[in-house]
Amino acid sequence: MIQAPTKTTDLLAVTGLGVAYGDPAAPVRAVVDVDLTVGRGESVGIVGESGSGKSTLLRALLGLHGSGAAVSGGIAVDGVQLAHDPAAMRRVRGGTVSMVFQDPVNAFNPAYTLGSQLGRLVALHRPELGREQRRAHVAAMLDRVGIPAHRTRSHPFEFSQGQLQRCMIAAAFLAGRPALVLADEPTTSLDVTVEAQIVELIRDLRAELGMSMVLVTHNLGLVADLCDRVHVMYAGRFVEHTTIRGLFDSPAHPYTRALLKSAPDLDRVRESRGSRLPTMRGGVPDLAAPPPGCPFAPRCDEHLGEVCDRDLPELLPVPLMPAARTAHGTAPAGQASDTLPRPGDVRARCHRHAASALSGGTAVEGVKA
Amino acid sequence: MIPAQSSLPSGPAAGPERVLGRLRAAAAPVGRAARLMTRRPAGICATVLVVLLAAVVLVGPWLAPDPNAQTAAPLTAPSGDHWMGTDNTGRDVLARFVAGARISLLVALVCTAAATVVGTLIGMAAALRAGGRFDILTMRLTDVVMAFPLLVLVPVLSGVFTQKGIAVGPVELDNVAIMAIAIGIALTPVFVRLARASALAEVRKDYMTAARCLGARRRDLVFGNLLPNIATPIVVQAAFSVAVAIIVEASVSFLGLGIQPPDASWGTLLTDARSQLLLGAWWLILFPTLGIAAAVLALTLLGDELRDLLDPRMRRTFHGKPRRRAPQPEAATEPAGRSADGELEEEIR
Amino acid sequence: MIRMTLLRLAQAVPVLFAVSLIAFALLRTAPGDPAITLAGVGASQEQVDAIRHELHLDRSLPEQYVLWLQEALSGDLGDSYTTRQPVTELLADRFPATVQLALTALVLVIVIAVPLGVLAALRRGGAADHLVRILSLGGLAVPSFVLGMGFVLLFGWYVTGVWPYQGFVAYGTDPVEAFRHLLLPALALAFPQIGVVARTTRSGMLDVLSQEYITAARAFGVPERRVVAADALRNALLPVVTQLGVVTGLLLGGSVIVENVFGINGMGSLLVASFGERNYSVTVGVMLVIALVFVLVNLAVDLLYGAIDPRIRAGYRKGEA
Repeated sequence: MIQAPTKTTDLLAVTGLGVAYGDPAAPVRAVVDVDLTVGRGESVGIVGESGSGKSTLLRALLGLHGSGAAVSGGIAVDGVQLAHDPAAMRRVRGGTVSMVFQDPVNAFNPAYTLGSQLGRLVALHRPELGREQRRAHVAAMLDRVGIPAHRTRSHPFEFSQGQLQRCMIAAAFLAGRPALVLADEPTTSLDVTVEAQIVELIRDLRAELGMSMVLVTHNLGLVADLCDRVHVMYAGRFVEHTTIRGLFDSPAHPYTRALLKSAPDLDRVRESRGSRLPTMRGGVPDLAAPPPGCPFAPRCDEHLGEVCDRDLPELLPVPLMPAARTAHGTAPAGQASDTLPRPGDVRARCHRHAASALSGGTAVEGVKA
Repeated sequence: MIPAQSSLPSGPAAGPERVLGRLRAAAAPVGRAARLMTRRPAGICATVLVVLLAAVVLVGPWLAPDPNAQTAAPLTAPSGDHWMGTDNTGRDVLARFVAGARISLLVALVCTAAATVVGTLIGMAAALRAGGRFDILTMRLTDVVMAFPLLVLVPVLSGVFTQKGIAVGPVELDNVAIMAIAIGIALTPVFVRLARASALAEVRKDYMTAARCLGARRRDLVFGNLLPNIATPIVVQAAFSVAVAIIVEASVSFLGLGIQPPDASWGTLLTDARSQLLLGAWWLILFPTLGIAAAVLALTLLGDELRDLLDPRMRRTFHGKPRRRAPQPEAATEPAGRSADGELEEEIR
Repeated sequence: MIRMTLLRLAQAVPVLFAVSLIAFALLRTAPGDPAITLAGVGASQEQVDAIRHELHLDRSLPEQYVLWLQEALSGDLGDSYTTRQPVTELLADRFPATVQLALTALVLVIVIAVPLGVLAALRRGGAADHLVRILSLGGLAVPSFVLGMGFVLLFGWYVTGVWPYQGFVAYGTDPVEAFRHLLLPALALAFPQIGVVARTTRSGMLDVLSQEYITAARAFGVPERRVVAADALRNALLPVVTQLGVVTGLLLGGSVIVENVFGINGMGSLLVASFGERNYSVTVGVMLVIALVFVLVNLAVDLLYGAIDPRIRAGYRKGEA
């Protein structure tokens, strides 16, 4: 379900967020001018290739960007502004907003048993529980994610990666009562079979507890499985915002289309064995010295000429287009992804759309199928 | 091994040329280090101090008066006549400082050089027969030597043998030599372990296997391939070990168990200073201390710089994105040096 | 844990055995005939022979070693050549001063260096960070006995009567006076190690603070104070603990020298005096005791390391290592 985001009920409202590293005179701008809203119970995906700034963005949301970074813009959770209030930010962490990390092996302290690490979080976020209740709660948490309760006495190095990611999910979803979980590539470090179990676990927990989620990933399948709508990120900026159906059926931005094309797809691989998977040429631009125009221009297959190299396009609403089947085919059948995008849902940062919006034209032309 | 050796093709260049090439390869890091050394403040500091000390040792004795001449008034503070004052028997402290520098630095350099060479050879031999009888014996022996604190082992060894006296053939060793041997013995295990560990890591690498498959002879493998590749940590450790040796010599001589009076070393100068402390003879303690501090600092900085310059990983960061310690302008002057280094590196591999 | 202790103990035994062999070799290499020395001037040949028999000097060298080792293990290291006092008694007499000095220095190192290193890591480029850099260079450059002489010059000549700079008082007799007397020598002894340990702590902390589990702890709302104290420090202390073992050995060795500056009658002054009197049974006794303590300290460090790092404990449990 796409909930129409209204200003009052937004759980998370990010406005004009920027994260810059290094020398203030010549900063590396990892995240630039990002607007993001997440409603209650909603799940939003952020996709992009590595180095696009998506993980930096996610960490900045909780103030975990490290001392070398300068953060600008606004981050409001439940209407409370956190961006420049470290104390408020700390109050939110773990309790209201928690996080699932990419690499569970390094995200647990190697020196302590799992039980003591989870117990500490429960003590922090549910201070009303006594010692025994706390222990019972930790056991119940582990049980819920499929880890036998007796393993509370084991140290992190005694678990497999998949087991640790289950524990990480227990910590993020069950230790406090989070209204929002930020997930940073939660399955990237896992085997394919384990990945499916983890996806299922996350989906079940969300269905049960109803919390919102922001999912950062480069895996389009994961977005289709777990998200309601999606932002596509490139070189620190959002370049497209769309629904899941919109992402797969009618991607608006050339970068999104390229991303879809270069994603391996079992069906296609089977049909065209031996032929090469399309790849995107070039790499992510140098964030310390980004090109003056559209950051994607140097790699763009649908380049319009001078305007693309000169001006940075705005993120503008894209007129609805007929559901054009892309090379990737229709979206995998997800629960929430069946809805077709409605007017205003799809926005893209591309001169092509700006031009067509001005001329009141219809759909995007020249989409290469 | 020996029959195998004869059946293998010998390298293209035989005799003096190969020796020369090997020497050049071994000297390459040193030359490269010398060039880069003078590009960073710490490196400049170390270089200046080393040059100063070398000057004191090499030229000093011709300029300074006889260290044992009791020609002046006893216990006078530094003045125009005696820049470092005089001691309680009227000897010129500057003259003794210079003579002491010679012995202190000589002992430290000789014992470290011996420990480095002996330790590296033993360590490599142990690594080549890892797990064998020789290896196990060597490791236990280093354990035993390392079971004594340096400042207990060295005074006991040098004390006993100075009093007993040892002769190598017809030559009776003086206490300077005994001191160097005692410190050398105590320092060797570090080099054995370091060389063994580095060699073990290196032997497993592909280029060693490749060289062996290409039919390189054992001697070439060890001295042509293995040694240059484990040289960096050993050279760095040697710089630090000289600093350690200086302090150990000073400490043991201070106890009266090392260099014996009337020979001067920085340690014996401090022994002389101790009895005059309560008379406020600050100059007796200040100058030897400065000498020790200068030498130790020079060698420590040298070791640090060498480590940064010789370590390929460090060098990459040094050339590319400047590290915190290396300011931008230096990186800008790099390209010329880089290509030369690249060639040198090719030559070693 | 028990398995680990036993294993490490078993590894220490051959080392101690070899140490005893070296000690015995030195004892027999040392110049002079101990029987003649012990018998004293003007003793008859019979008296000398009797002593020679008592010291087993009339047996073969291997036999001598076995008998000497047996006696050493039962706590008899022979008699002092000069005072005829049993060496073990002399050692027992002098040992406490050395241990108290070394332990005081160790406490100073820990109390000063660890917090300093943590501060330096938390505020890089701050005052503590600079202090660590200066201390680690200065500590290398100025040997502890020289610093000790500086203290003696300062409190014995320039500002007299403020602070004791000579002699030793045991903690058992008067803790306050003991600390007053031990502070200067312990500080001199500790100084070279403070910079080193602070630097290790600093780099350990920096390393750990950049780990993902620290970010994760913050993300889950753990208060910053506890992130530093519970999460970071415990992991950062692993290399520090190893180093403290080495440091303890250096402090023991260093106290041999520093004692002589501050007129403390410990093992160090005993060692120096024994050479002056060519009293080699005492020399070897000192050497043996210090080596024994050194080996035991390293053993203790290994065990402590296992207690802090669960992975090492597990390794021993599975019979690795």
